[in-house]
Amino acid sequence: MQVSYFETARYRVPPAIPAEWPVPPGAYDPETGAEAYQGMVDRVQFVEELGFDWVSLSEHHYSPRILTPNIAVSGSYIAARSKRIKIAVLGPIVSQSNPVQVAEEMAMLDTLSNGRLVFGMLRGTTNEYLTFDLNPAEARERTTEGMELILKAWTEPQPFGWQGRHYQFRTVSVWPRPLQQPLPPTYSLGTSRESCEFAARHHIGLGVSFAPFEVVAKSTRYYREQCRHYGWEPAAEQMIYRANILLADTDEEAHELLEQQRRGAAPFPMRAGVREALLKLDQRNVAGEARSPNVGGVLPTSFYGGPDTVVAQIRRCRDEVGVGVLDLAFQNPGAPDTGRLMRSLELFAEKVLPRIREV
Amino acid sequence: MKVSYFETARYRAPRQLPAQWPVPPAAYDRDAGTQSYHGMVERMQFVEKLGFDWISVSEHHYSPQRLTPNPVVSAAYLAGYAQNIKIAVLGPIVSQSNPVQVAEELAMLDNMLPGRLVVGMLRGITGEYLTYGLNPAEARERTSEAMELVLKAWTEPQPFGWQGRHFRFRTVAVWPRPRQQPHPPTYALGTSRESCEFAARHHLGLGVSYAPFGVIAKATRFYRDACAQCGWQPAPEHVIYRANILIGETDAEAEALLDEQRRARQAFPLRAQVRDALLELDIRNVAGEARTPNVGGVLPTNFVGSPDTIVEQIKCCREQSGVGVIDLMFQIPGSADLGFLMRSLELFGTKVLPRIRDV
Repeated sequence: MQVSYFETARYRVPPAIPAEWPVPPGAYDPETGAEAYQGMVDRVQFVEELGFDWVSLSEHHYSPRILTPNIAVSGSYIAARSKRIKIAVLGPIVSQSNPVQVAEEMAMLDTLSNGRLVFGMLRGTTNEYLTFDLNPAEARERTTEGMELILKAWTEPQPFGWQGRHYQFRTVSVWPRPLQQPLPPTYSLGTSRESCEFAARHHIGLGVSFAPFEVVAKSTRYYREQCRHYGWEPAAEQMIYRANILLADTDEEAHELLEQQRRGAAPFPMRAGVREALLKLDQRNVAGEARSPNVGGVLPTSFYGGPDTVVAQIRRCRDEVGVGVLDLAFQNPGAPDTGRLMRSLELFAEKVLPRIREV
Repeated sequence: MKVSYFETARYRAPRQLPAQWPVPPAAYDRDAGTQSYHGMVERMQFVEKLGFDWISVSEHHYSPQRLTPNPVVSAAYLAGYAQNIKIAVLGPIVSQSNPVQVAEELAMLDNMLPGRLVVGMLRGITGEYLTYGLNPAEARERTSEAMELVLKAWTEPQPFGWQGRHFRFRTVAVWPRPRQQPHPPTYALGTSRESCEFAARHHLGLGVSYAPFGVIAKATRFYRDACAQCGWQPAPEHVIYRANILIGETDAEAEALLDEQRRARQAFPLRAQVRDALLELDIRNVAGEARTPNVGGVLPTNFVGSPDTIVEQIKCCREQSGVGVIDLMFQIPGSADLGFLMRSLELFGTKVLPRIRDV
């Protein structure tokens, strides 16, 4: 099993800050912000030293807890300050991007990092549609078209035109190209039927997140079936599972932390009316079965316990879901005490990592 | 006088490239690309040691000679290595951007540096309109509206909506904010009346480029008058002049280099018909007087000669146009011999820089 550390540029949110979207930018403290980005580098260097395989980043807008609206920018900064760890951008929100620009930025990042880029393409969590006023009903289609365009911009040798339903370019002729050939390791992110089918058709990986094992297992099973249908078999590394983990010295301690966290703030709190409107408009599925999106709620924690328990859970995850890469969020974004985060990382590297390499 | 080094991520093509836009991406050489980005860091560290005040980067698409389609991404990489030097992003092409995204990216970068970012906002050279299919007739309007939006996104304490002619957002609430408050030193780039008036109205700096002293002096004079009308007086540092320089040990040597350069290829070569079409569509002015844009042509070299001569030219530039920052291009992009570039930088750093500090 390979392990990725999910980094969110932890801004220490003062307790008095308004909780609901959109949080007034007047509340931003520039000094705390500069510390957050510096801390990001410190943590990446720390996990690199500890032997983690990847550091991962995700795109979020208007969010005090996750200060990474453009992950190619934070990815490049990290690339300059790290040596061998892979930089996984999971991922740019393709549905509301300019796909040619994404292709350009990611090609730059792959080259700047000496070929350490891992690339995931995302439809976006429901709340992100509010940022650039995306129509949720178009999000899936735009994502699929955007992903096609990015892949073509990276691989087509000659300049080409693109007349799509959502994107039109008279000429696409991207310089530079990615360093890794023909593509950086690329993933379609999402549990949906469309995401699985896209990944299978294009021979790329699949990334799933946060839902319990049995739910994500439906997707990975569907993905593998689809890959067979297209005449190939994905390796374990072609499936990523992003999940929350709460690791402590003992199970009791971890349970206590979990209780505390359940009482904690949701990552993207929203007014009830806005949330309900989004819930109505956004349609999601797991391998074709309808599911409600998580809007403004607390995300489940898939791994928790002492090191022995977590090792057992990871084995079970591999058996049931088949994933080869775990992308782990060790602490809720916005938690003030990064000391606990550092201790969990250390504990994971010392007591868990060496025992799951062969899993 | 302050001095900035203009860095373009010099890509040295191992084989002769097709000259005209769009250059097929299949011609991209990955090793040469990697070298060019790493060289960018070496050159930055070199000029930092020599005492240059800024390093500047610019946005260009589909271009082998300038591998910086998103200059914020390359700047974030440089930020990881920079000690004291300021990084000037001159600039994002705001006319064809998502201005909220520009505000987000630059705010991230200012926090990473921290607080050593300089920003220029650009309409874009005519050739760039081809990249994302921008209507040249709308470019000016879009630029002004986008600049307003970027500034407002940085300074407005509360979430706001934007219903413009070209950009619409139900909600703008950017996190993070820039490290520098109320915002980083910011310049409107361009010689046009609109650009000067915008800068004066918003108490920003002005950046002009390449044209001879006499021409840019018209723009800087117009700018200072406009500032006076808006009730303030810009400092010399409020005016940047980007220019080509050819420095030799002697005047004769520099003149010989200039002759060579005149025979060299243009910066952005275009097919004749495409060029003519763009020339017809794009309307430009210097402080209100119509001027033909430079489309696909060779840019003039404004400083030529031995160190003594160049010191004189810089003094003359300061007197005629009131510029307080020169942003210098020491060698045209695409040149094969980087040794020459490094020798020029050293010569400038040792023989010119100490003598123009008090200019």
